[in-house]
Amino acid sequence: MPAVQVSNVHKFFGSLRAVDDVSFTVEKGEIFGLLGPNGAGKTTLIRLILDILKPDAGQITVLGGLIDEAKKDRIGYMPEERGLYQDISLERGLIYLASLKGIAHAEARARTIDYLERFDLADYRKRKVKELSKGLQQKAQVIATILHQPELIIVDEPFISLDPLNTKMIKTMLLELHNQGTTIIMSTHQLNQVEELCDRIMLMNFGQVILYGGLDEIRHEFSGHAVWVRTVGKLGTIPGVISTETHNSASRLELAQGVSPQKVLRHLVKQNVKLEQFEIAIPTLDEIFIRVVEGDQSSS
Amino acid sequence: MSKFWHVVVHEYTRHVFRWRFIFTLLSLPAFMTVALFVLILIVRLGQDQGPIGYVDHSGLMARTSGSSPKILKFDSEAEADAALTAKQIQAFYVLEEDYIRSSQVRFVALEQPGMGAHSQFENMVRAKLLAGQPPEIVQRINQGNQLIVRTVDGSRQFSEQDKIKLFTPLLAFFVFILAILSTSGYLMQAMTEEKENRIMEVIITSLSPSKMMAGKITAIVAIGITQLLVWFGLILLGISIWGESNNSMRDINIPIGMVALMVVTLLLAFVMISAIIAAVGAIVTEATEGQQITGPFSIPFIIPYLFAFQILNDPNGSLAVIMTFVPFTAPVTLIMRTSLAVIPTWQILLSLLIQVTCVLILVWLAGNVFRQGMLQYGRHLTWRELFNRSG
Repeated sequence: MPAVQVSNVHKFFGSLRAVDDVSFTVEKGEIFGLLGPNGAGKTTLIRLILDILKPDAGQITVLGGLIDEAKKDRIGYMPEERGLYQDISLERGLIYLASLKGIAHAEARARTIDYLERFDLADYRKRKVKELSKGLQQKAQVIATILHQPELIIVDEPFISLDPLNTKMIKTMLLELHNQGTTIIMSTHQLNQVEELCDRIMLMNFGQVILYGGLDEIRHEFSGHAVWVRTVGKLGTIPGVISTETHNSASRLELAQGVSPQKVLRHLVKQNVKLEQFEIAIPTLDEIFIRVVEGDQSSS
Repeated sequence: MSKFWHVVVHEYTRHVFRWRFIFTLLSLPAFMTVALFVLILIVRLGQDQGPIGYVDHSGLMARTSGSSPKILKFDSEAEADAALTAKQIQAFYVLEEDYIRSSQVRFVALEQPGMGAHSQFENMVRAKLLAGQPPEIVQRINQGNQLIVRTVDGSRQFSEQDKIKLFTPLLAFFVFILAILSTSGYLMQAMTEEKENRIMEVIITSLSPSKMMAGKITAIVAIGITQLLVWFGLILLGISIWGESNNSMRDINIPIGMVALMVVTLLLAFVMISAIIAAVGAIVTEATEGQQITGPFSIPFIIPYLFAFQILNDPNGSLAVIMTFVPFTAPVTLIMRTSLAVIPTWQILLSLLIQVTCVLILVWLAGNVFRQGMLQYGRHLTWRELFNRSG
């Protein structure tokens, strides 16, 4: 049973197709990356999953059925633009949000104190949220998202305005939750984080799904027909290589149709070329993102 | 505790236990007390407290002994004139020889005398006229007649001396409207703040918009009631300290049925206004903008005051009956009518039914607008979106 199943969902705002016939599943316990350029429809899709908005067509099931108030208690949501009460104490605000997730007051209080200590925020618990720095508010927002120990967490841009130390801390926390079996849907523009954390991704543009699947599969699919080679000395002419690009003393060799990387390697070994690096040129997620989105935009 | 009550408690404590609320709560009674004292002071300062005089050609004033240091007797008009010119007295009265028959009194003054000068003199003359009469006659004449107005079926009555009984519910409603207008600001501010800092998006993933709105509206009604209780408590405290007014206030006897009706209609009115304010708060982007919009919505509640003469003059007339069935004018109209007339039970029930229906529609609308409006940052909702159920 998937954690989230979205089937042929449509959402219109007037004439704008914010979400256009989107279908995908998020399996239990995985970290799922939701990617796309600004205005692609990611936030609308998240709001549809969370029942903030209702779809115009299609169906969404969450944690084994249609969403209801009991299920909302099993979900944690961190919006892109943070939502915390600014004019009450940090501790009180967090306890209230946990209470709204069905946690008893005493338990909510105990968990709040525990998490504030774990996130180095214990000294700020009586401070008003508006008195905290952006980074500290961000950590507080994370606590609000996980305080009720949800089974499904949806985070929208979790690393925005965090310094490298706090980014690492949040990343570690997400991986911890992942190891405990929590399902995580993460929407972000920081694709290096997606590469590190996500099992599968979905790329959206103009409200439609343009790429969906396992991260490794997608990268191999886009790997094209090229190899990276770094040698001691100059690289001579290699049969079957169409073009060569050099970046930082490494060369990217674009291979002709029917020429395998193994054939190139055999040729280099035969030529006694001293190799420092030989690898299949797998594109980064950034490259795939740009290639797919630019291709999608030019075709539309 | 259910989520609804968590919202109620959170919203209530968030607003009530703040200096801003306490300041607003106490500033109105403080302002009114200061204004009252200033008014009394101005009246006292502007009032000539000097004695008045009289010249008695009729012999009435010599009937019995007893005088007042503030009322001086002069043997002739020339003496009185001299005292008036020397500003020893404010004015003087001349009782002509045939006063007993003609009841004519001449009044001589250089300028308007202070308040109470005439009544002081009249009281003295009345006492002299009644000298020698049995005490019960004296008391009856001094107290005057007690006119009792009774409804046709005898179920309700009030005396002319107890006009306060009629005006107490109207006054109570007026104070109530003041409470609504002041507490509604908190609701409006909370709504726009929560929308602005995106907390609404987090909250809405925990409970339904209608439950959320119902919690907020209940909290704001509770805050209003708190405010009213404190104000009425301070008023009662003021009256008991004042002392003199205490006796007349103690005699107020409003029928329990009327009190119950008043409480129910006031609560319904409060919920109606709060729901409108909550809905507007979800649409607008700034609290000040919201307060400008909600202002006109409060006017229908006070329209019955504008037609008070017509309603009180003919409590069962067409205008009064129609206004009883219009949701926003019904609360005040019902209270006005019940003060004077017997309203058919079906009219009360129908009016309450209309008000309850209106409350339910407005709370639903507020929830819907909340769902629609919270995602419209910096943009206004269209009328179509307000009633769109899909969200």
